[in-house]
Amino acid sequence: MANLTESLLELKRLEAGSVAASTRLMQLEQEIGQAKYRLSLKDEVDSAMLAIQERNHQRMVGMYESLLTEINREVIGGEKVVKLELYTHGGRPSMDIYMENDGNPESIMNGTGGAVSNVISVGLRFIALSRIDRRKFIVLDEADCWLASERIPFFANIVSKMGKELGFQILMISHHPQSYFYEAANTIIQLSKGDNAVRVTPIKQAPEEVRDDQIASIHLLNFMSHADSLIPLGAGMTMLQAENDVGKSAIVTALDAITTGSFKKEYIRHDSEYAEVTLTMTDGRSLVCRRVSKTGRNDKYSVAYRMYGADGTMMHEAPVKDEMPAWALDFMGIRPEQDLDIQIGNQRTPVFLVQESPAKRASILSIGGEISHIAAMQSAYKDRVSKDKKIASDGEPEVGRLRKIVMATMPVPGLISACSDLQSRLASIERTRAELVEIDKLIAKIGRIDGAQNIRLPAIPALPDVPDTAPMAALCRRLSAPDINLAPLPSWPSFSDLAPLDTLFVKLGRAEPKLPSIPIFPVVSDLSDIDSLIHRTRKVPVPQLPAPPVFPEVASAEKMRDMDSIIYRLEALRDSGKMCVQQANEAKVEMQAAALEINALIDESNGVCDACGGLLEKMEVHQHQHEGAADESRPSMH
Amino acid sequence: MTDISTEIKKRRERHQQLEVSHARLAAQVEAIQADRKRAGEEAKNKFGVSTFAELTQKRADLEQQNAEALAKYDQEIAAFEQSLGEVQTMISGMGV
Repeated sequence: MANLTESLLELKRLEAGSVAASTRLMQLEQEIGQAKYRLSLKDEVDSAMLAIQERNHQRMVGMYESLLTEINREVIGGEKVVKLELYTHGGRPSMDIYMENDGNPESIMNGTGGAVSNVISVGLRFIALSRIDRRKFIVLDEADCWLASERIPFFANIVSKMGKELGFQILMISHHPQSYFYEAANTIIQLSKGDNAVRVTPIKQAPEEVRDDQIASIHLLNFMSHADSLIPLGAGMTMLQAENDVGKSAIVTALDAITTGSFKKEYIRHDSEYAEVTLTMTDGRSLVCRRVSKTGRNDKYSVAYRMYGADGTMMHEAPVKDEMPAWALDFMGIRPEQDLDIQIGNQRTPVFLVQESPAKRASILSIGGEISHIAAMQSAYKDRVSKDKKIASDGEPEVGRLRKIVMATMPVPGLISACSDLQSRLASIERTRAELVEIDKLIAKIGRIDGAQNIRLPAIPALPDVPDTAPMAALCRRLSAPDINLAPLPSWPSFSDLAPLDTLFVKLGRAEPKLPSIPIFPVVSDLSDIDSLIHRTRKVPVPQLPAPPVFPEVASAEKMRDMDSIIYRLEALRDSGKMCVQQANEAKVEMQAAALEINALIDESNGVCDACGGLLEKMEVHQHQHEGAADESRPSMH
Repeated sequence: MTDISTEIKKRRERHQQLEVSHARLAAQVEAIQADRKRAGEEAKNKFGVSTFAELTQKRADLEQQNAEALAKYDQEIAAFEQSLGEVQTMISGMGV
């Protein structure tokens, strides 16, 4: 018989395989259908990708190309076009910057003795700052140094224009005459050498206006050549003009010190013990960066920041150790981006970004993301197309195989049901078998019991209620004693001789005095005479008795007394004899009863002795009268 | 005359032994009767029969019923094994 459990397990396994194959088949058919559908759209997708790429280029790069070209044309002149070319290199977005002159590319660095690179660098800094989350504050330190003097006002104007457009606060530092900037800058500050320190002279001040979160002033205290210089900053472009070697660069150095925490000891003005740079915001809050030449009780740290509220309350204080306090950075909003200084700049590195790597250019301008996305999308689509082709080519044989499995395993659920049914039926058969075994046991048991029930125990006769064995034993002893063998009672002696009567008395255990001899009475054969005599002597009238004969006077009174005595004695003897007879009868009755009981016992034991198996003889029951025994029928003797 | 007293005493003892044996046998008979009663109740409870004859009839019925069920089972298990073998043959080598 097959092992149904194993078969069921195998069927379950096949069912699971069938379900998996069926599921996979559906999934694969769907995947193949989708893949084929996508492949049918490939041309449309390719066109759409190209269109997206072009639109994105125009939207992101084209705007900057136009801006930079405009700046260049405004400041430098000519018809050259600035081109930004986006691409991916090593999976990273990259950008090339070049000039196009009549369709011919030119290097920016070679244009007009470096003037082009200056102008384009300023434009690129504006673009970069506009793309990141930083304070919209930019310092242009001698950015006009490569420009021809006559082009400086154009430069100043376009910078101011861009600042206004973008909402930037601009600090332009130049050694060129203030007049070049007078139109473009709303605030002009002139630095000049004083007696011992730099002198700050406002030349043009912008009208007061409400400004949100801009730097209101820069204050230098004991900083390099500045003893105490307060540089107010306007809302738009502030022009800081000074001759060379007056202290312009100290302003940029001070800004660098406070924004980076790199506050060197040599920045402390000579003969001073500390230096401070303070940035005050338009809302009145201020941040002070203090450098001491020697730490002490009041100055625990070499470089420390303090932030004050608008009311002058100190809100934060922290030293500069490994890194800047976060609250100070948040306050200023000025810090490098990818190790590249966008906001402060430096006279020594007037070229911005142009000389960086193509990947960094794209990254700094934050315009690589889109091209990266597009490139990633194109790459993903390419992969998708490749996968779809593979799905379509590889999937068809697999679909055929899976269909065969599904078809082949279609009977499996039915077989599982049949197997389960067979298991149930087998179990039922086994149960019936078990019941049969139970019934067989029960039948055998009942048969045995019924056989045993036919046994009938013979009733055991109840023992007679025999009294204690001791009296019985005594009775038996009495009955078996030879001297009580009921010897015949002594016969009544003749009254002619009293000697036997004496003997009788002795036998009966009576110690009677020897009776005197009495005269011998004639033998009376008939006791009736004696009875008559007794009655007569008792003077008891005897009815209907014949008259007594007349005896001759033969006796005297003495004789009469003797006679009375004799009568008395005879009566006593008669009573004694009756008593003896009665006792003898009683003994006989007892003996007979005992013999009957014993005989009954012998009958009960069927005359066989339980102890030895011998035959028991019944006792003889005496029905006769012992010789001489008293008997009721015996006539009384009187 | 024999010593009747001794004899009677012996017989009384023998009688007592017989009584004990009788009582023991009576108890056994009673236990057997109780067993019989229990067997009857068991037959009634388990197999719903009231008499010994019904029980033997029940056994005969069950035996026949089981024989028929077994015969049918043998037929169906043969058909089942054949079907299972066919499926296994079809899917062999398919990696199921």
